[in-house]
Amino acid sequence: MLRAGRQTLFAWTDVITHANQGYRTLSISTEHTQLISRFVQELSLAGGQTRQVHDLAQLVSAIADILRERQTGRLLVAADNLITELDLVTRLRAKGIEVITSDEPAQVAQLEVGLTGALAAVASSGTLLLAGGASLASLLPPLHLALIRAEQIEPDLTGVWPLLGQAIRTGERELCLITGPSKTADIEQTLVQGVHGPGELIVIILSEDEPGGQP
Amino acid sequence: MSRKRDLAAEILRAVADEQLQHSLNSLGERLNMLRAAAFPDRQEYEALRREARRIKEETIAHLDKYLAQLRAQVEAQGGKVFLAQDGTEAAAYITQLASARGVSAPIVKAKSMTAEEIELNRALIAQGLQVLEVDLGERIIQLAGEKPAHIIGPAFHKSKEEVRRLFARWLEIPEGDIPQGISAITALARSALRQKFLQAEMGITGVNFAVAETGTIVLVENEGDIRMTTRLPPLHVALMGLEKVIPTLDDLRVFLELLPRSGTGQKLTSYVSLLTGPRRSSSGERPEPEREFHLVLLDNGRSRMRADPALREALYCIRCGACMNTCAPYLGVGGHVYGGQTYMSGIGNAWEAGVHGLEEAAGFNELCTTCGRCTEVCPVKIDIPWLNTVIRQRAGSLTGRARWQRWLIGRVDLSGRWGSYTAPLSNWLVRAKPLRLLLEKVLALDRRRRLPAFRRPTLEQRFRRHRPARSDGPLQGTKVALLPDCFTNYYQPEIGLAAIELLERLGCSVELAPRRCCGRGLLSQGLIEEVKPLARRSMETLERLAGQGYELVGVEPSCLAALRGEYAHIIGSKRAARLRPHLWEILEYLQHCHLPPELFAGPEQQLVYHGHCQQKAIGANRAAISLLANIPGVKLKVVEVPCCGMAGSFGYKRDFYQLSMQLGRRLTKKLEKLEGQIVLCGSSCRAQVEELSGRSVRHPLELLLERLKSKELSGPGGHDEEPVARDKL
Repeated sequence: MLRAGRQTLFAWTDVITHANQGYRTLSISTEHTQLISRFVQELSLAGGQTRQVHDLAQLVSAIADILRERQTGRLLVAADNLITELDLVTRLRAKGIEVITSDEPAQVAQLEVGLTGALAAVASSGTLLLAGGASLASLLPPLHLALIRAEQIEPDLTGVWPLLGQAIRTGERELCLITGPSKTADIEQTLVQGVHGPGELIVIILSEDEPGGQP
Repeated sequence: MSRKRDLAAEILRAVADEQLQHSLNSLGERLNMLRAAAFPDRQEYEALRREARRIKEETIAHLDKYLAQLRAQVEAQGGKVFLAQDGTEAAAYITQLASARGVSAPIVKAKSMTAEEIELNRALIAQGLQVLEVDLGERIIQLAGEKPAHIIGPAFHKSKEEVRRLFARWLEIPEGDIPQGISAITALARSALRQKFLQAEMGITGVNFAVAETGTIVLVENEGDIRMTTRLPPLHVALMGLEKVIPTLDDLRVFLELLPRSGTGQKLTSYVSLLTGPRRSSSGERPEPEREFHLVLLDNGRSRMRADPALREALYCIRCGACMNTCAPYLGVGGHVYGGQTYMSGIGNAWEAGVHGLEEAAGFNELCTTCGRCTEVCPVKIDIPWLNTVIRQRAGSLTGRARWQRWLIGRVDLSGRWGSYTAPLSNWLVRAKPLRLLLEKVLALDRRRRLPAFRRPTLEQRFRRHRPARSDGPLQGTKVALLPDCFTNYYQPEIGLAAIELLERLGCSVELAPRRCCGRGLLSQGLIEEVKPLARRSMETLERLAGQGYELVGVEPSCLAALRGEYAHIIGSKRAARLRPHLWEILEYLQHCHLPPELFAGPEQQLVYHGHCQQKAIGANRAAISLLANIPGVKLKVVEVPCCGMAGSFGYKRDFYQLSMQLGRRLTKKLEKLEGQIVLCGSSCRAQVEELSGRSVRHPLELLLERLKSKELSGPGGHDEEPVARDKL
């Protein structure tokens, strides 16, 4: 059941499917549990946070909760295969959230929260690999929410490198490795989060390891 | 000469500036700790460094090929490439571009040392353009009208109060309205700059790496200003030095593993942007203007550097700043005192020599003590002290010291020989005021500095009367030749003798190698040609001894560093490499012999240890620490500061005296908090700490010998000392 579910989800793009072929057949549970916890730990060292959800309902309410905490009902959502696959925009709108998908900086400059997917993640450094389509939502709002599947977490940079190379060779002009929120220590060497980019980064990890977690 | 005087005055100002000293101190402590923690696995680190070095050597060797490939790829993606011979051409191209596109809003410019190198802002502003630095540190520096004081933390030396004043002027609001908290000040800058990003029509960035095979430029940052600069305005100009090209994406991964960890200790910085050609215009309802990407390749002396057998190595630099963070003189004075046009500290001297000329480099070359600790932290293994030695040689009297003055300071073997021969008269003379004044006037040796006393008899003379201690210790059958370096021979013969006795009691049969000055003193003065005859003689002697089965053991790390380090350049790397496995620092040798630590077991004793710079540089420090730490009864406290400040002749020089004392005080401040016997391996470290702390300072091997002896005395048996026939070496 798990395998079938993942196979449909891995069909989003040629790039992703190809790069992950090797992993589809692996037994994931223990390996991914370890990768998830390493990712969570490393991202936290880099100043980011994580939330783990196990199904779509949990995912939608996690996002809604975060927006409520920020006292905003509006969300900038970047074009992304996983978000499309899960039909997340419809579901968020059904929750009463105003979803904005504009790609124009002036229109989205005032938004508090941006949601993106990611091409992959790196456990050893707590890093996300994002494509250019996600650039505004991961950059302008003070809070960047990123959604990944647990299966997208690779152990290290070497693990994401084939995917990164393929993305560039197939025409992705803008990629970004994101490790934690924007930060600076330029004034008196004191660490401050959120100087130009988002001061907060929350990565929501969707793992269907628990029974009944199928979207 | 006038330049030299300025340097001395600026050093004094920097040393007296409390705010600066505080910033430098915390910069060093913070970044060195973070860097060290970022590379827990030494093997992985060394493998990465070797690979990075290999890639850089390959790239610079075939630079034209990779630049052509890069150009073709960028153009194939719709970008434009311009090769600028110098800063004037680069600035002219960018100015013309801005005026052709009718840029009227302020240009947003991200941090770039290459842009600093050609003073791009000044050139653009002179043409009527507005340029706004958007990196927070660079914004502060631009408002202050200064140059960066550090290549990755340009404004680290500014206090919060200064920043508040500068921001009040920038934003035209009363200073009282600028918040007090650093977070709030940062937030204020964020919102002010955010407006500028949204209005900008042109963005300028540097480049960290450019991947030839795909035409991808890579930008490494933490703040997000580079992402804003490349993403928001429709026109992006990236300025890169020719040396930033790397062949493949796989190569990029190696550098991404090294650059952030070496620079700030981060596994990766917050953002690493990989941009391949101009961004595609968005296909929204309101079509964006056509987006443009221009890559300006800057030569500005780099081709000359490439053709220069020494300076070529500087092109491997990836600008992580690790060499500056570990550099004691840098941490004593900060970047501005170096006074070069752009670059500072460690690798900065070679870069100034390459892009701004020898005279510029000569102005601050002597601030490098050539200690070599930077080579341990350089992610591409650049031999920075050697580069600086070569520049010192080339600069000659441009540094303010004539060749004969350098020669007199550097021939420690001759001064030692004559001083010892005539001691105690010589000691009385060099302590007398008139001679000190003369030495200060003629050789610029500071008269306040206590000079070490010449000793008679020398180690060589004492050894002739020495009766070997007999032992059935574990090292029986091992032949050791102890190297009588000039410092031990003429100034601290008892340490040499203690080393001999220690080795003998451990079972070695020990000879004193014929005294051959390695030339360390001359090397420190940049007198490379003058070292060559000394080096040839040393090598012949050492090779003969090694051929006879002797292990070559020394007690002075700086001389061993010459034999194991600089000699590769002087007599050839292959020949030097053949001798290397036989050359040992004494504690390193003992650790290598895997002696049971119980041998030195004894009463509870606290030892306070600080590693000698060159001992660290040759990789012998870790061995010394583990040897001492494992001895039952010894409680070892290791004190970490960059350097004691003496660094051979450095601390004796008039211009550097105050700086040397300042660095020394950072060490003694830490020592004060610790009880116990201070043990230091280098003769100049011992002199410095003795002078500053007033405490007794010894070589660790003396303590080892004492522990060994006290055990033998209390244990069963004991040895009669009998003379043993000795072959003359």
